[in-house]
Amino acid sequence: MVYEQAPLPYKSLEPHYDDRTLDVHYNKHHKAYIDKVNAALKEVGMEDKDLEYVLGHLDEVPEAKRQFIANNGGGAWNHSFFWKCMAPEGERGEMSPELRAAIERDFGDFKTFMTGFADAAATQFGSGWAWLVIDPATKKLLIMKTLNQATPINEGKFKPLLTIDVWEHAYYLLHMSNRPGWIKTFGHNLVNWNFVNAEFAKNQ
Amino acid sequence: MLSTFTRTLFAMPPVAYMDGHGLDGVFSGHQLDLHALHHKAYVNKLNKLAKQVNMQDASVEQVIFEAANPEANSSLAAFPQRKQLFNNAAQHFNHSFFWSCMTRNSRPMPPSLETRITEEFGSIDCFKREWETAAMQHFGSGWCWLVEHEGELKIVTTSNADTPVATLDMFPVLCQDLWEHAFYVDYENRKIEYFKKWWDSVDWDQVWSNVIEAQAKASCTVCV
Repeated sequence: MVYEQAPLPYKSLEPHYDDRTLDVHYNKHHKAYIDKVNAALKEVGMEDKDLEYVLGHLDEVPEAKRQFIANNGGGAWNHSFFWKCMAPEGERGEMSPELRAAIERDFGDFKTFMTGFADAAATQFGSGWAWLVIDPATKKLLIMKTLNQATPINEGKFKPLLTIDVWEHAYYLLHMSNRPGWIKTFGHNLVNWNFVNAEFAKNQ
Repeated sequence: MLSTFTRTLFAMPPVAYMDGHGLDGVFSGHQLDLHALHHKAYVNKLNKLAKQVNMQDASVEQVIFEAANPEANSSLAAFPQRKQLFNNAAQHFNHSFFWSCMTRNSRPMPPSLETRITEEFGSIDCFKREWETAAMQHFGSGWCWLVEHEGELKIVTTSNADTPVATLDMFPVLCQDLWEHAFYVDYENRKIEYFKKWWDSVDWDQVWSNVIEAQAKASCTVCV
């Protein structure tokens, strides 16, 4: 089945995320990944497979198209997840007590977690993503960073809870070379804790 | 005691067309100013890291080569920030080389370069299309290069900070920055527009000069 680009859950994230970037990022960058992965999956006869399944079982993709599908499938999936990780002011909610307890258990405290997450985002050299993930088997929370469009679901076991896009196209028009500024804005003003709480609860 | 050594800091070279007026419709002044900030940040980090391993007097090429090839420098091999040293040194080199490949009011390709490129790629158009294809197909951040390698001119792309000067046998003659920061303000996601427009700014005289120098280096077996 065709991997759909879900509509954005909001019309705008101003002033914390500029409308122009939202438009280009969603309608051009994300859309291009979606179109390319759908075409490639059809080409290799895997269009009936769930995208998450494919990304967790890339060895099943014919070698000639594997990197292309990893890149574009990763781009399609990562961005779909990313949009849900943000919400406009007033709709973001707060970290749930259950998630907070897990954060404190695995990172010491919330501040240490946010610093670790920000650090991962700042030090992913080149293009990529930083993640909060859970290992459903152990319930342990981890911070990860991935290069380009690699994704924690490639490993087949982690479930993402939160992500930030640190490809320059994600923040350049508003923040320019100031990636730390983008990361700070994301953490303080954009994270949709309602969504993160729900993803966490799903994996308990 | 007065030091008898001159401590030379790495620095971004002066770039004549970075005067706020942009570059021949290829880059706006604003785009270039922002890009300079990236280069200066790499240089600042390089200076801090190079001092820690006593390589502040080395050439940037030496820092790159030894950071990439730890067997060449055992104390560098053990440096916990060797990768960061490589990234910042390489990005300093790559950006300096990139600036040098462009000029205002660029002149047509010198006949000798035209002949060489035509021999290798069939035609100037074929060369440009092959370059644009390589650049478009490169995934993630990186660079597109024309290198002198084993007697041939080849188009290669590298990821992130990777650079031909980390090798012993690839000599760069032209490069283009594929990182999004290089073009996003002026072109947003329209990469093919950037790649096609960019030819207007290439300093083909400098490229030919680079070819001559690369051929000299390639034939010199002792001067690495």
